[in-house]
Amino acid sequence: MIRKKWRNVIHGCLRAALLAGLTILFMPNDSRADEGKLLFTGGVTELEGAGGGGLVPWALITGYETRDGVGADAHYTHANLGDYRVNAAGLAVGLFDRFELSYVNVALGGGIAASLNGGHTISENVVGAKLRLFGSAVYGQGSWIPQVAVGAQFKNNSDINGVVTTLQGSLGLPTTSNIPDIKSNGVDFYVAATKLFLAQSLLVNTTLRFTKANQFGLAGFGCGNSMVCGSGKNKYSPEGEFTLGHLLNVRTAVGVEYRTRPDNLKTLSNNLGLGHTLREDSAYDLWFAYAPSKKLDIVLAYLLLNNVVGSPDTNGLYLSVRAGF
Amino acid sequence: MEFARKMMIVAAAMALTLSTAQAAPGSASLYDQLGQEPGITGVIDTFIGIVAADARINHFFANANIARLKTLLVLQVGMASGGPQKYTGRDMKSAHAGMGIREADFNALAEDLYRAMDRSDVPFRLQQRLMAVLAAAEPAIVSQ
Repeated sequence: MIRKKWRNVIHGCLRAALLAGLTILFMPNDSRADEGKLLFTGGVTELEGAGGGGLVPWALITGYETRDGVGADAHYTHANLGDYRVNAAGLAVGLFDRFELSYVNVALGGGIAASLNGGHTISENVVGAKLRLFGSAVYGQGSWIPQVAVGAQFKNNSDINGVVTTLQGSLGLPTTSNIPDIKSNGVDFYVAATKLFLAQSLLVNTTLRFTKANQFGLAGFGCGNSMVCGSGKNKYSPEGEFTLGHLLNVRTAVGVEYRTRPDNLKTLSNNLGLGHTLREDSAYDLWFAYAPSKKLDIVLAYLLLNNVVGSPDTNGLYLSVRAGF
Repeated sequence: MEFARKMMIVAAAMALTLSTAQAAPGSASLYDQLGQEPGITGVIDTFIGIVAADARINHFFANANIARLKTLLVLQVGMASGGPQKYTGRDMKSAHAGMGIREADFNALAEDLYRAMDRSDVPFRLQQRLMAVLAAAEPAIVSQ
């Protein structure tokens, strides 16, 4: 319940603090926080913890440190999406505008999914790493080459085994051959390209992700028994993620995002006689970001996840607040 | 139907984004829209005052000839915005060589220029058009 959720969040934050502490301990002495990047050029925070838009990791490295510094930020996100609620809390470290490490705990509450977990939220921990390869989104104005980064997100969902067991029990699946093999952890890989067209105040991002995650991993990873899952539902699938952003002024930006997602549980859903209950759709959002300073930014969005475990209209307001330190 | 509904949301959002993002209308050059040389001189005067008060970077200008710096900046911004000026100073790389300018210093200067243009009532979309030209000079100015 609430206590469990907070325990997860606290454990995660401690782990992230340890990570940040070690990073700062081992960094060269002459590097320091300079907050030298321009506003928004580290992105805001993506749901899975990376520097990016609300739904899409960008090629930008989180925070405001330039190639000469190391800095960290913490964020809290709440989304009220019809039957479901999503809460996320995490930390991210940007190193020398080259490398990014992040941690977030994402918890899904409400709906059928949570009732399958004994009324508790289903939560996952995501540790992310991102490396900028080449290009400069900001300074490469005379060139068409975008800033390009590669990243990985290591996801662990400790609740999904219990959920699958409950689902099994409630449907009275008779033999082991009928049991779907849904994993509790998985790794997403992505490559992101970000270009800032300063003269037009436009940010364009395209990300290609390889993932097995169902509903970001909140519904586990893959579906591994082809007897019930159908074939090809347990391998990495390529997904496209896009952001278009526009700076209204130095402190304010608006934009839209679109993210395709795997639909690994579709055949399972049919085979269990659950119709479209477990279907997964593409996700969208329409966002507004305001940064009163480099220490604080606020994102307000309308997020559409569409069908999430039994609730076809998992859509609603998303609020994320981030503090740099 | 569901798909069409989603696509309409995306299309509406993109239209909103693009419509606010459209470049300045008409044929007036950036130079004209900045108010030609008098307008640019006004921005640079304000800019120099802001930089002089900016503890992050004013030490770079401690020994600078301010009158000459102003003249060169007006020429440079005039030329960069499509005006008839001919910048007569040294190229960006040799002018800044050995000064140890970091990316943060370059961006601090850019923030001061945004501030100066705000104070001179230059609209944001014009600010961005000028910044796009100036940002490309970063690799030549920042010490590697």
